[in-house]
Amino acid sequence: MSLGYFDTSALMRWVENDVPAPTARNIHVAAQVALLRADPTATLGVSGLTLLELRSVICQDWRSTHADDAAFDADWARASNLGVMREVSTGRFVVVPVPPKAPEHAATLFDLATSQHGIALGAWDAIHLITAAAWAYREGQVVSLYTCDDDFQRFVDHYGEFSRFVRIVDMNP
Amino acid sequence: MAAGLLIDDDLGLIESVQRAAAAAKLDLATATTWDEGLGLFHVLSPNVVIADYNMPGSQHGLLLLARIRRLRPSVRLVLISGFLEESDMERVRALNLVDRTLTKGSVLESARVVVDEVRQAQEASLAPTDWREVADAAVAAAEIPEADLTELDQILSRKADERSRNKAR
Amino acid sequence: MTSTFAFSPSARLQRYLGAELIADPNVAIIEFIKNSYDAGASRVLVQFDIADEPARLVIADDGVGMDEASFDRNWMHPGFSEKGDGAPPAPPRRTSAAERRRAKRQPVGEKGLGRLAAGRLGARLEVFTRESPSDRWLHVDFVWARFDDMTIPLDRVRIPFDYDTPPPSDVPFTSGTAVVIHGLIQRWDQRVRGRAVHGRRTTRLGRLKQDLEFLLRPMTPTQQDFTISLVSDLVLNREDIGEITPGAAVADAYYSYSFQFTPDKAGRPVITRTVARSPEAAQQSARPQLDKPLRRAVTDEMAKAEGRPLELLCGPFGGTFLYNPPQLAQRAKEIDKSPVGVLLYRDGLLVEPYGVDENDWVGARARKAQRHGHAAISPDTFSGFVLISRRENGALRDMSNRLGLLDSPASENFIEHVRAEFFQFEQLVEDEIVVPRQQGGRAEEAQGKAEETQRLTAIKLRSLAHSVRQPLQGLAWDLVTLEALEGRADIPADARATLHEVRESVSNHIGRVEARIQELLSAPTPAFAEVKPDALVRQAVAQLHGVAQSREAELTIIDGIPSVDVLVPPDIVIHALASLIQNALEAGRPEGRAPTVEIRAALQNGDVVIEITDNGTGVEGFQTGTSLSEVPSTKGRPAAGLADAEIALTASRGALVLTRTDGSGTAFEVRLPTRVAGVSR
Repeated sequence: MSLGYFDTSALMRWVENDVPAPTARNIHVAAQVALLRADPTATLGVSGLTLLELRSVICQDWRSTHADDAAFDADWARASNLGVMREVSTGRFVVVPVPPKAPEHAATLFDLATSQHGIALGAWDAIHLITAAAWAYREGQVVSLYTCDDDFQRFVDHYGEFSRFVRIVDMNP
Repeated sequence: MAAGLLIDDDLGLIESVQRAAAAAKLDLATATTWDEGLGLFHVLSPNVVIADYNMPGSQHGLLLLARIRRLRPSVRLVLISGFLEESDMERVRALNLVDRTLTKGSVLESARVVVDEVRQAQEASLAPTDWREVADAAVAAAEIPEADLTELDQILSRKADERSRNKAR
Repeated sequence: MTSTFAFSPSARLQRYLGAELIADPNVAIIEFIKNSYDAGASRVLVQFDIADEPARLVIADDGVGMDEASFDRNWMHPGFSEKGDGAPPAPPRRTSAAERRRAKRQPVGEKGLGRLAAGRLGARLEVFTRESPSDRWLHVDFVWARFDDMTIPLDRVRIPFDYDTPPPSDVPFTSGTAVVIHGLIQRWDQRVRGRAVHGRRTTRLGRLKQDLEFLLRPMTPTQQDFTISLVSDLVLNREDIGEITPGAAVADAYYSYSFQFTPDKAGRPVITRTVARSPEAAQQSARPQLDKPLRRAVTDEMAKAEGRPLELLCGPFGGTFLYNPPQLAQRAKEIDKSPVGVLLYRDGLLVEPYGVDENDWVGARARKAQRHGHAAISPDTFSGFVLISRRENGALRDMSNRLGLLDSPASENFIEHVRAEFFQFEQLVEDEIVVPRQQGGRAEEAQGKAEETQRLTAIKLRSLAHSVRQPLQGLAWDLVTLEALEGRADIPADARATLHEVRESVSNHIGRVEARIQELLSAPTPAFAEVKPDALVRQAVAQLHGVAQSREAELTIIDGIPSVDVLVPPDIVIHALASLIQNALEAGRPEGRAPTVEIRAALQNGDVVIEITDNGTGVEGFQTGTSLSEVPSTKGRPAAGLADAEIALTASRGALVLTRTDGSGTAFEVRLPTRVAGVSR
């Protein structure tokens, strides 16, 4: 059984794909998410942070007055949130706990990344990485972290110990 | 994540520790070098790190512990050494770098102490971050005198090196 | 037309020439004393007033003294020198005692730079000089700081003089020359910094006295009337000051060997020899400072043994050889560029070229070459003189061209005797100094090694203790596993009970091992004590009665263990002896051979040697005399105990040697010192 963890960026592309004229990028990412959802051997996880962030970005798209974002209306927002909740409700997405001391742990990681290598690692990204690694440690197997954000790989390239636990999968085309 | 991390270069000891941790349901990760230990510290952020002073690695001893202390001030550090004398450990404690030292005394007692530390760390890991505690620890870590730390590390390193040389004779 | 340039050196040149050309302040003082000697002085006072500031040095003599013209000639034209150029000294204007002495002396001060060296000693120099008590004192005042100006020429620096200033009241002479140096730069009352040099005194004043002795030593055979009084109001050692005369200078030599050849009625030589040693040499060789003169008539056997002729064709003669350790010899050369060989004097006059300019008529250099460089007396350490006279040694004739004695049976006989005497002296120095120093050096080296071994043994013990502790720690964690299993509900009751027993048993074993480790870790540095070897042996044997009985072995201590005390750490030695005896008891024996172990001891070269012998099967393929750590284990004969015994005995400043091993048994020798350098009883 493989373990996969979604950060917000991957699922955002998935929900943004559900409009009449989606972007090529969203089509690509959504197709991969669909494959994963259809794979019975894949356990797919999200954290409370993923759900929280996703909800926030959906609202952001909905509020947007940009012409390209016209399709992200109230109906779309409602349907997107409900779709995610259904996945959690059916157990297709398992909710992986964020470790209690994750904020403190995250602080050490972005301190390290900046001070030693001058690279960025956002606070929420650090929490995602810590959550995926903790899940891997508990289960005793590597977790694939599905993301459209390249900060993760850049960080793990410098701190190779994380590779024992987390495999970064870039879903971008 | 792991509640505790034990760093010791004795592979036989590490096997026994891993077996005991599994049997006693201790959430304890292990490493056999300082470098490996530091890497695991980054990933697992354990609440307690138990380390033997004299191990191979790119950097050993007090300076590495100081690095861990600065990365995450609230971590509990326990220094073990069968080699350093009590007077050396007193000097280490005076730096406020580690939370506990174990030198001589019964090996059974040492094992029990480590088990207790890890069990306490397990309980602590279930609770959310106490930011006041983290802040206090960060201020204390900043007050560790750098020059004294470096000097003591050099003295202890020389003793460790001499011991290694004579071990080989 | 040719024009010319001329040098016009700056005043600063004085500083360079004085302070920097003569780096050693002792040499600066000696330059003044040489001037005193050349001036015909019989006495020179060298007086240090250093108890108070400003410190002052007075060098005063009863020599000829100077008037204004001679002062100008001698002092104010540095680099010019009337001395050493082969020109005869100016005929004396007056016939004072000093003038007569000056006329007889070969000048020794040559450079003409002596007075500039005063800048090396202090900030100001005053000169007081007069030729007779009826003259006024000429007083000249040099303040060296006036010469520090690089912008004015040397000859523009004015040096004031007057006839109004008398010398200090403590100048004891009514005529002659006194120099008073003020604001001394050195601290003459202190020890010399740095490593001690063998044979060299450790204080500044002491070294100055030694250097003055080197200066006077070659004057002895010419019976010069010349005494230096070295005084100071502040000294570290009383021996650092005093009277220095040529005779005393010889007497203070490290080794002085005097000989006198006289003929007996049959014309055979009778040799009287006297050996004198400096206090340091006497202490080092454990011999008296002055031996009683030893008088021996040369016999056939003695002549053969000493390689000398039986006759004394040359007539009676005598001489003195001096030996200095190499460092002192080097210093003597620096002080006075006098020949380092043996000088030959006839009626007080030097006979060239003997001993001059590395002339090796005594054969010291040749002897060293013959012995491939290993002669006890290196030519540089050797000096002296031989005295002959026209009356007694008429058969020894000089060549007119100052190239030595005419070849003749008498001169050959003379040289053979002198060379044979040198060989006797060389043997004496070898026996008393060189060989013991080598042995002492080895002993010191051995002691250094023993100390280092002791320190490393302590570290090794700690290291051993620590490395044993690690697997024990693993065992402790295994006990944690057992404890966790014991607590599981699904374990059957009987298994739980067995787990509990095993856990308790392992815990006890761990406790016993830890107690032993704690003993090792807290073992103090062994304390040495005087103890009878008999007591050590009996205590070791007492520990093994049980083992001997269980093996039906005969364990015997042979009578005759020396009653002298050994200086060892008793516990460590007893432990080592017990290990060796146990090893001997447990050695394998062939079928039917009743096991025996014998222990005997004897005194050998200052050590007590304990021999432990067994009748076992021996250790195969082992070379006697090599380190015990290489002894392979054989059945019933674990080698680790032997290696530990060797470590223990080495740390005790002793030694362990396997002297014999074969099918009939094995013998170990344990050497215990009766005296250990650096360890007080």
